[in-house]
Amino acid sequence: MDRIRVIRIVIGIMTLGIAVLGILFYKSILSYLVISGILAYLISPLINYAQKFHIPRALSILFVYLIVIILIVILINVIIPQVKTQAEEASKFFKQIVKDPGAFSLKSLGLDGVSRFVDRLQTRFTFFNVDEYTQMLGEKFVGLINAIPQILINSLSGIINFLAFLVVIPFVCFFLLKDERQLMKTFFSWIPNRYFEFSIYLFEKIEDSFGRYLRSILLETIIVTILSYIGLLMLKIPYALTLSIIIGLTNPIKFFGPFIGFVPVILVILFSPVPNVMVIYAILMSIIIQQIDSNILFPSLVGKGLGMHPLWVLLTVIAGGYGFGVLGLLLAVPVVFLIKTVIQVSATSLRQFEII
Amino acid sequence: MKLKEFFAPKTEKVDEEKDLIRFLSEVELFENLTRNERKNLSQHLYERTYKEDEIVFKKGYPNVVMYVVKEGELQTFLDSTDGESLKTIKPADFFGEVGLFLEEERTATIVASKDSILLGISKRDMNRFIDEFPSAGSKILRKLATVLCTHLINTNKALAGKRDAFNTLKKQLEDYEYQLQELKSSPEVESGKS
Repeated sequence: MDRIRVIRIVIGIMTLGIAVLGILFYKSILSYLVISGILAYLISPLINYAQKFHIPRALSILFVYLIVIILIVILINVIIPQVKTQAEEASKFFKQIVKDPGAFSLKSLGLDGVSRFVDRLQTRFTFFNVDEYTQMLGEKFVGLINAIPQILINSLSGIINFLAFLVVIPFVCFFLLKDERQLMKTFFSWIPNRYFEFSIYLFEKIEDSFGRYLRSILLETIIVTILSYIGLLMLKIPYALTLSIIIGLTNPIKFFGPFIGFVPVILVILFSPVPNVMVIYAILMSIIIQQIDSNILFPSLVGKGLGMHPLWVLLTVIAGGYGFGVLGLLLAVPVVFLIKTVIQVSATSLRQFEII
Repeated sequence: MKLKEFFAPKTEKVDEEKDLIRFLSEVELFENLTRNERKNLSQHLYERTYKEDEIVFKKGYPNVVMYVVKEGELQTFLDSTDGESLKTIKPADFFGEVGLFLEEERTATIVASKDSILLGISKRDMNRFIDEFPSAGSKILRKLATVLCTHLINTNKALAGKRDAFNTLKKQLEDYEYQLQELKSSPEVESGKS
């Protein structure tokens, strides 16, 4: 009997070793797999829906790809020129400020209230020179914009990585989508009979709450982007498309997202050569969109919500931001929510299935 | 490499899939489905192998998966697995279908009495399949209704048979009791007592 035990232990160690080696070997493309997994997961309902009409999976996936490519081409043709002219204008503008400090100050913005406020500030606190601060901000901004080409050249390997990223992800995504059921079958076939029903139960419960959350967030982002694009167009704020995309992308960040997304809008209004739009209107627009989002979109899409206390959510966002930067801000809440769901579902069902 | 092979690599899995689709037509629940519908359904089936005496699920577990028996033999137990088996489940039979409709826990324990191969389909996948392919879904549901009605009729008949047997027994018992009373009250017994 002891011999069998020894053999089992040896085989166990070998399996573990192979698994570790495998992870090390595929380590560099792990992020690709994760991203393609998330993408495939988001697209999958569309493909399943098409299957209802007896359209082969491969065909519908290719069709989705075609639409995505067309969208990307349109976006590149619309956004890149906009961003480029914006950057050029801003750069020119700031260079002039640096050369001739008198040409620009907050006082020259044409906003009477603001300039009066600045005046008052300066008479009271003589050490506080608003114009100097704005000028410093401007210099930093110019420095950043001038540095962009240098950053791009320096990170040539980064670009190659990025290209590989662009090629690999659609391929992985394609096969994940096409063989979705096959992959699931293979995965569940590894699980022993004792835990088979439990694992299916766990998987489905998690998919019901977390998957729904993930898909709703995507839809919410798209809707908020479109709404703010319309709003910005109505207010005739320049670079509406770029700004609305920023607003949409930062929107999923709990609590801080709307504010972070709105900073570029304020900057554009304040720093545009002719600040002909009142900041207050833009703020009003932001508030209206936020109200629509939190009172109509979020409840109807995400449903009951996360079931996490607002304070917990707030702390999670802050911790994520500290630990992992922008990505942390965006992903901290979903990841914590996922872990919470796993623990919650396992706690009850492990007992029901008499595993513990 | 041919393009077609790249997108749909040929493996042993293809033959397995064909076998599975053919087998599904032998199952009463799916016999009316077209080949295409069976193929779509087979995408959701998990093949599980059970050894002799292995428990598939116990009474009281959550209802998650419905099973179709591909090979082997299983026994149903209501209370403990030591007791008498309620029913023997044979190939092409299915069990766990109650969970499709009721949120209740498992009502029986299923144990493999021989090495068996089962095809499991999760309750959620089954319901989704019925929603996604309404014509196939209605065929399955109609068949399931037929099967459940037959079960009900058989159970009723069995119950009626049991009731008749119970009534005859009861009558016999009453007769015996009556005879016993008569015997007790007859004078010979009384005299014998004294």
